[in-house]
Amino acid sequence: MVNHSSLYIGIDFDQSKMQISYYNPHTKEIEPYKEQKDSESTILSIERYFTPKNTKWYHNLRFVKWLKGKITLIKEQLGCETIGCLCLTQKYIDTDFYEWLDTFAQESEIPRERIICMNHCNAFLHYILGEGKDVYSRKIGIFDFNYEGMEYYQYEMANISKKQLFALQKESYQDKLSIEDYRTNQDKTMDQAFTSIIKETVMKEGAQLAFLVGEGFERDWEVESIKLLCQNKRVFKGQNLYVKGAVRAARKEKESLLDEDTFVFAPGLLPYHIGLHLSDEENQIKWLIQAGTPWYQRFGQIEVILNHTNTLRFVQKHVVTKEEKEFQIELLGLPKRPNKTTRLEIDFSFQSEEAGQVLVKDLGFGQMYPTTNRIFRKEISLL
Amino acid sequence: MQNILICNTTKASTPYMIPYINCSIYSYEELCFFLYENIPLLEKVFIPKDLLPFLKEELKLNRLYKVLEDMIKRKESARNLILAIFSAKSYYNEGEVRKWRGAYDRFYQSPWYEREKETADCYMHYKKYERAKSHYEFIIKKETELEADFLSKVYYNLGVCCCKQFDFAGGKLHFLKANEVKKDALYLQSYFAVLQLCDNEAFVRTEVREKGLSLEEFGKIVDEVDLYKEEAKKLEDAKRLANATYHKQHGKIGEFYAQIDDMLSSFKEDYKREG
Repeated sequence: MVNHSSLYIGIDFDQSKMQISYYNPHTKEIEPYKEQKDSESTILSIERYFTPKNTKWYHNLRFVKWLKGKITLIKEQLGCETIGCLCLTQKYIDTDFYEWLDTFAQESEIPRERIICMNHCNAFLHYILGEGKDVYSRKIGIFDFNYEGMEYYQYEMANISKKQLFALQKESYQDKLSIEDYRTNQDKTMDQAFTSIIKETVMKEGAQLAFLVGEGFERDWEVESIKLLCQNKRVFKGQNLYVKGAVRAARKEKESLLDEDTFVFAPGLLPYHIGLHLSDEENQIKWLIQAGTPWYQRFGQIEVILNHTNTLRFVQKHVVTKEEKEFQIELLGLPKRPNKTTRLEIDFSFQSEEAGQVLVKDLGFGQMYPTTNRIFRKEISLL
Repeated sequence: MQNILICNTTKASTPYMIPYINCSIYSYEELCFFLYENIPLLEKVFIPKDLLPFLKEELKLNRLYKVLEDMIKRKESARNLILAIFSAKSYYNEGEVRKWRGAYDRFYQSPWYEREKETADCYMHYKKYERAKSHYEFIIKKETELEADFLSKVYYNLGVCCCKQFDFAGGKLHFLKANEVKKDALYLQSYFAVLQLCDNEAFVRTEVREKGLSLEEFGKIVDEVDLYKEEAKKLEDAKRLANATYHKQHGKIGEFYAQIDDMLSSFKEDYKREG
């Protein structure tokens, strides 16, 4: 439940630039933070902290203090007592950034449980869901022209087995449109290339809405291509899509869009449900990880006890295709113990949405059957 | 049948010590396993009133705590209290609980000397050799009209307890007695293994002749004892002794005595725990 004396804030990092937006409880609108009230610009420069070669630039304590100052200022301006939730978004999230949130929470004195993060795809999904069913039930094309070049995302919603699936699939057109083209004012070339991309994507897929985001759309160069794009569809251009999505995510206080009735498939999110077979005979599965969970998240450990078996059988089920794959871990080399006296700790971690590993540690059985400290490791492919 | 049991219970930060056994219990599953597998010990070690605070404060099993508290007020039997503990979660399924009920009832319906031996055997499993010996000796003292097979096992186990406490004289005596009650190759082999370990060669040879052990059989025992001696050298205590000896040989008398004192303290602690 949203607390009106709390501040819900979203922050979007885009290399050397940053945007902050917040939910104004008085106007009930999501508003951008501006350094200067009269200015149109909502972009904050963080060039002095950011260096492209330093992937961990955010560890800079001066940056954290500066950001903390901005958040405090907004809180005071709105008369909010606490931070309800802070959502940070950037193009990619990795485990270092996720773990850095603990440091950020400590330094900024915001409770860790009130800080969430997500990649741009996830932020976009939150944005779209917040626009209502009339929007999120349509096919949407998103052109993100960022520092890596032109990327296209196809969004659609489907109903599968009485549940809703929100899917976002990515295609890269970095070879056709690079940010260097934009920065060196190759407008005509870009316009032509973009026309070709539009034909391959939104025209072919029949998208009903299109969004143009990213640095590459700050200037109006898409003279002819925009005419094609606007045929039979609504087109939105703006730089605050992700930060607005972050605010919406903060207000829901969910790191993912997962609930009992929804599945999500998007870059940065695990495409498979992963479960553990509880029985050799019956089809009893304990689902440990739900598809749509960000791969960088901590999953926590689960403890199990073996009952007349020395094998752990896992199953992975694709969220869209329902394809199932099994893998197992044979627990060889454990000492012989009476039945039900081998306790194991199962721990999942991922390096990306395509690959991860499961670690199984022998915990023994208290003092009666001490642990051997043996660890079994299995690589998982999510391709 | 469920081959994988999910653990969703809290682990204790301060364990519960099973009295007389000194076995630490950290989880609900460990408690169930102990109660299930040690029926002969339960009369002595299952003290519900002592267990209740552990269930509530450490394991956070508030519902079970309340159930047991009410049952204790109603003066329900230990058997029923333990069944309530098993039923709280699904570490043991219905069939297994039924099996335990049967084993529990059978134990208390069996003759006193069988109950004494099973109790002693349980103490032996937990290395409580003094307690085990007291139960074995009680059987021997009280009952003379016992089946040879049963009595020989009692003597044999008593011999093992003695050897575990380095009382090799007692061990030899009881192994021989076991063999007198009922001839069994294992009893004789155990007797000769102890002899080989601690008696002089001449005496051993005399005994081999008198007891009619074949040279081949004796050879096997010698090999086995030698193997155990080799394995004993690899143990931590052997290494510490070797270390102490090294200090002595190099004139480091202070270090030598410190090492010996350390080892003796550790042996005393082990002995107390196994008492």
